[in-house]
Amino acid sequence: MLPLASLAFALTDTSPVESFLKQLPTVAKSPLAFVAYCLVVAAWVVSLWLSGQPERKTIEILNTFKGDDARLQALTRLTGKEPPQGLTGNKAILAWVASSNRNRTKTLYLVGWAITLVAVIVFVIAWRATPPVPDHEIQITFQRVGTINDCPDIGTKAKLSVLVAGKVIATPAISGNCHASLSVSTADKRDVTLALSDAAGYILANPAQTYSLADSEWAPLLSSSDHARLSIFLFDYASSCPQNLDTAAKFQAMLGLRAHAIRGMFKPLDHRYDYLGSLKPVLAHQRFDYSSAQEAQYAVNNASLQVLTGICSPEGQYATMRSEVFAADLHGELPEPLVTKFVVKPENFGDTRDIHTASILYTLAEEGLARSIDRDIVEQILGQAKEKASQIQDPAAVQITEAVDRRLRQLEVGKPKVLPE
Amino acid sequence: MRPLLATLLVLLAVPATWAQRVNALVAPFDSSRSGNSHLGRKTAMILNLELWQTLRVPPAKGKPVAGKILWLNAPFVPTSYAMADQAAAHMIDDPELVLWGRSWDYGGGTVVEAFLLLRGPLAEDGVLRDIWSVPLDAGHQLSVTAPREQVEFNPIVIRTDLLGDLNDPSGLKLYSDLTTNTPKGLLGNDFEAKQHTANGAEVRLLPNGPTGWVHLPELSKSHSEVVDFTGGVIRIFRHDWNGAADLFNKVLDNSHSPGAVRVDACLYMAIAAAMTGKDSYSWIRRAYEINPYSRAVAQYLFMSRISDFNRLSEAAQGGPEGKRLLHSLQEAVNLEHGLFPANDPWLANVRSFLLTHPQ
Repeated sequence: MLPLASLAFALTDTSPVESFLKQLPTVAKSPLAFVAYCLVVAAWVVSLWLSGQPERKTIEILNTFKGDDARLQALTRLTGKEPPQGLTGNKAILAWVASSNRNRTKTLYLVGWAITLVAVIVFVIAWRATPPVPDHEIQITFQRVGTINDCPDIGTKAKLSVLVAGKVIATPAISGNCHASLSVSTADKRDVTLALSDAAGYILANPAQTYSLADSEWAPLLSSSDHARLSIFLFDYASSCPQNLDTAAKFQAMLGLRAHAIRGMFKPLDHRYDYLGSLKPVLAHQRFDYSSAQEAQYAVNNASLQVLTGICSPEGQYATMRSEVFAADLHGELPEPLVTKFVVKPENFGDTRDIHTASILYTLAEEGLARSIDRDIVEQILGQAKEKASQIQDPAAVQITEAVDRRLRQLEVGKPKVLPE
Repeated sequence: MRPLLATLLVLLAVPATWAQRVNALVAPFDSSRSGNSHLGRKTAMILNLELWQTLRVPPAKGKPVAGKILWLNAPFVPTSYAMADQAAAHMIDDPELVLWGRSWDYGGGTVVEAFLLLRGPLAEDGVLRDIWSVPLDAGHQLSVTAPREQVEFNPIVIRTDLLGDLNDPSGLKLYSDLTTNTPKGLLGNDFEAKQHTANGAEVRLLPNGPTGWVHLPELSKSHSEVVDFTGGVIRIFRHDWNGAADLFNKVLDNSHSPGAVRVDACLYMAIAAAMTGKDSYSWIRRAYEINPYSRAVAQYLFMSRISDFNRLSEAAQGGPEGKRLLHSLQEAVNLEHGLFPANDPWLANVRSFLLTHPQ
């Protein structure tokens, strides 16, 4: 039995005290534990009863016999000792009886403690005999609010706490990206709340949300704090293009690669632009179905720079891809949403790519203005947007170019840029 | 990573004394999205050969710098600028330019995205070396690097039927001349060009092999700016100013060239013009029309004005023409200073130049 228990400790890598505490609820209900309880109770009941018996009998004698001789004879029978001469009065008689029984009482208490020790040993045996309570692992996977299975990188410095009534009971280990795990006793089925800090700009979307320790998976939702908004959300494009089932997927892949190219448009040694390296596409894996107000809230909650959705539909020989680009409070001088529409054919690949690059750049400039970043960075970004859009013959490109010009005029207080001769 | 094997395509008649060399790597393009695993290698091979065709011996004047186009003969396909840089960094020749890209099946056709990474010329500290310098006062000089390090070209719609069965340049057939159809062998790994024509090139196999002609396949029906621009940059690095101007003119004449490529082409044209004593400012104006909010354009603008001023004789610098150029520079600084960070040391040098040359 004991070696098995030791092996259990080794496997679970927990201390005996931890193991004991975890097993306590189970051990306490075991038959051996009940034997121990009975022993303790019986020992002390009997000891206390026996130790009080002479006093009870003395009171009975005093109440039964009125004459001193009769009382002394009865007391002699009771205690086995002859009472001293002249012992009179109830109080004096009771004190003498208590004194005569002191050794007996001590012996009875000793027996009571001895039996208690035996009961403790029985309890320990019961604990050792009880198989260790298996921990169960709770897999915690954070998800960005408003997405399905999008795993935001909260960094390895993030601190997650599990709380019961405001008290921290555990701090699960963060295993990277959006994952953490918590090992708890299967017997523990309490409801808990979570607290998250230092999570690379993410916060819990619903900090009051409760989770059960009895569950095996938790999926807390995260939203972004007030850092730069650098996520481009790609919602599923509806596709009714039978000849090109994967057209929408390829279109999305192409847009996703755009986000990664933005940092390289600016000088690598100017590290003020490094934040653009965190620009990333996020596949929402769902259809976009929000009202304008919801979309705006979604954008803020998710640190979203843009939200893209659209539809692929057949038109004659080719498919047509219609995109809607939402920027919520960052749309600036652009219409909300910005609508682009391109026939999906090889010759249009470049324009489609560059229109979206230009719109990302424009929204980045608005985002930079909102955070009051250096003005020269905003102007450079707007310049790049103009460079991309101005060469494209398309209504959306014209809208971007005009939006850039308007924004730049506002930044320069209406002063046109005319190169000197 | 082991040093990557590369096919060496060396320029014709490079004097042995030319120790300096500009190396350009054309890496296999990523074709994982096109459903044709060979497409990326074929595309890169053709761009490699087309780029090779732009190499020429620069005129006697200028810096003796050779040109070399490298072919990545390893199963490594870069899919980002970082990977392109990694591929180049592990090559013995440490190429200054890397052309890489990816192909897509899109809308029933095949589209190729090409990207150019400028890794050099690098200074000893690994920072992109200045490609244009103008003297200031007291032995100081003002310099600029390439307008941008990452260049994105207009996608090329390619004709896959024209690509044939080739996967690398060594498989090209060698002919006695371009009129015959009977090959006399294969090109192999190492060769140099003797002359280029519109349809092919005369080559000599290295080290002491025979000469022959190779037909060069087409990539697409419409001309792409990828090769002209990359070839132009190589010529700039080689100080072949007139040759660079020829190629950048083609880039600017090409209606498919995107705005960013046009801006850069204008700025390179400005360097070529300044270096050959021509008007560089008109090229800056063209770039400025496309993007007046580029710090690179502003820097080249200031460089152009100072270069023009420096070309004047001492007497002329104090005369009306000198004053006009200084006034123009001052106006440009007033107009463009917002494109620079506060306390930018480069801009401070320009302002210092203006202070020492009162208008």
